Amino acid sequence: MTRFLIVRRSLSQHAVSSVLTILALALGSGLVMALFNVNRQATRAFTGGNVGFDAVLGARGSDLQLVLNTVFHLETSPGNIPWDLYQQIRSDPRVELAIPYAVGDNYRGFRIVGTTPEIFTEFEYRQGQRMKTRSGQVFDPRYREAVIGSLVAERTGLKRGDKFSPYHGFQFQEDQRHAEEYVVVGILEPTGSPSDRVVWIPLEGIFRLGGHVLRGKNQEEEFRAKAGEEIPDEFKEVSAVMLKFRSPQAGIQLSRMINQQGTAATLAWPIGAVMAELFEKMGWMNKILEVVAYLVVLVAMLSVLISLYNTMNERRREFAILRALGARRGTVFSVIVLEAVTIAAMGSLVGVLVQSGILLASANLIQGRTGVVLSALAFHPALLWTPLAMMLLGALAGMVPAMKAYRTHVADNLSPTS
Amino acid sequence: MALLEIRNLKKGYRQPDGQEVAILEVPHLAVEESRQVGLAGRSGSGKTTLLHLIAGILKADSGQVLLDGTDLQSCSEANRDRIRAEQLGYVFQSFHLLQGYSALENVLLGMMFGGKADVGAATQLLQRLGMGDRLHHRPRQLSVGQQQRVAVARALANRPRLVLADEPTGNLDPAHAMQAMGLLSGVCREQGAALLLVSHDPAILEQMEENLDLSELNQAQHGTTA
Repeated sequence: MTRFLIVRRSLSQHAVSSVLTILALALGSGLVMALFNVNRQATRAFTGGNVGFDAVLGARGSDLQLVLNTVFHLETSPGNIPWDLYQQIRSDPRVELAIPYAVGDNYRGFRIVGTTPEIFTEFEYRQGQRMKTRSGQVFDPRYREAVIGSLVAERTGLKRGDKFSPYHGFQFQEDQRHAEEYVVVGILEPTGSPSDRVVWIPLEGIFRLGGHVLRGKNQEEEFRAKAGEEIPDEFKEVSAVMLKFRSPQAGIQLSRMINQQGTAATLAWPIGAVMAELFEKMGWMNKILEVVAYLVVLVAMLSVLISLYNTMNERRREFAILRALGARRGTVFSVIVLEAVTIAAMGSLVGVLVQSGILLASANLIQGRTGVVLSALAFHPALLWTPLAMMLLGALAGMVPAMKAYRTHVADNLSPTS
Repeated sequence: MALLEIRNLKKGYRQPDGQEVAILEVPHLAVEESRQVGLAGRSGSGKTTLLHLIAGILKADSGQVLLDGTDLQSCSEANRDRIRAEQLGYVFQSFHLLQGYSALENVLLGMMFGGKADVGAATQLLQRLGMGDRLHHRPRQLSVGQQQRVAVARALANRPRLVLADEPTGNLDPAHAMQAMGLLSGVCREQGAALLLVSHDPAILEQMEENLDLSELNQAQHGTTA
């Protein structure tokens, strides 16, 4: 009780420097906690594997680009695959679900994906969960109708019944506007997945957008769809086919068949492993960020040491009085260490709030860019061990000024002041 | 047996050139239980040093300071701290109240190191000294006389057996000095504590049951070196 009273009084007497030190510690510890928490949540969200599909079939090339492009709606498309490849994989008995995607356009930066209504009726983005409209209904593939993700609705202000024109390319450029108009017939409920930032339109809609050239199987011949004209299958092409297998063995067999024996396409499988590889490659960056965060904590700890050390001279008389009242040297020493630990503990507590703030900001950013939702309230063991480590470091930092207090000469510092 | 007895107490310091200079050399001094003793002496005669030695704040070069038969000089520092907290009260000339603490907290701190912090007792003591309406005031919000009363309350809060007072009225005008002296002396008497009071003021010393002159007691003042 004695020590806590002395610490409390000292903190209030040096309120400005105490608050500044606590803020420095809060920033440092908040950064460390946020780094670990964002990293784990992001890794889980991107590599968790439960994205609703087992594999992606796409143009020959990088499987990572394929996954980023189709599952997370990032990156450019590695190219197209002919319609018959889609038909072939669709009819494969090992495949439970095959949904074609055609990409290449956007609406104000939000990706437009041409697909079939199965994306709403068959695809489960999480076990047992299908994309549902919160208002309206899914598109009719015969018309220029669109269903938009919740984030698209929120950010663009598009409502049911609104009309919009797609823009060519993945990046929004005002002058790349297509002439065709689509009407929003449905707005999806939030899923917390990348689908929230997608504008879904019928597959054929992408084929028929002005300026789109179809090459299909025969790469030398071009086809431009005209209104009312049937598009021959040999000219149809899709960016990717999203696959769900009946068994894990199907993945092994199809991967061998397409990736090792074939040359026309790439099967990105399993999706979680592809993403894990990316995170593994980015591991060095995390390490650097961790080191920076630890350095920030160290600097903050030095500020504890310096701020306490600087008060030692003005507090010599206080320590001498306490000693004259019967306080032992050890008591004075422990008071300073306790003060440093208290500052560190308060810094860490505020740090948890800072962490939530950083998480909230990151979550908004990540959701805006990828549609993946991170929780600002998610628990990570770093929320426990960071404050503990901070208090331990605080105790160590406090020992230097505490030693100075310990050595205070009582009689010398009790001489009359007036 | 005297409550406090000093035997052949010597204290000096070493000059930069290595020469030892004696500042205090007291062959004998005794204070009986509950007795109020005044200690006079010229400036620089070692009065404060003597009080520091008795309180165990300073360590003597040789000799004994016996408090109820226990030699403080041969005790460990931790034991001296404990004895000072439990059995001694100290009123400083400039009071030495802790500025960030309220009057009540200043008194409580004095009790805490003695291991018996009692808010009720501390409050009662302050009320007894006329500070009942200033319990939560900080020292800078108090007049000099009020600060002096808080210092007296702090020194007596642990019901010490011996109170050391170093010019306790030095900062007060004569009227307030007499009033403060009356309080200190009265509360010591109520609690049965002995009082060893250093003062220059003859009017204050007159209040004491016995007076000693350190200028005469201190052999070092007569040219003897350690």
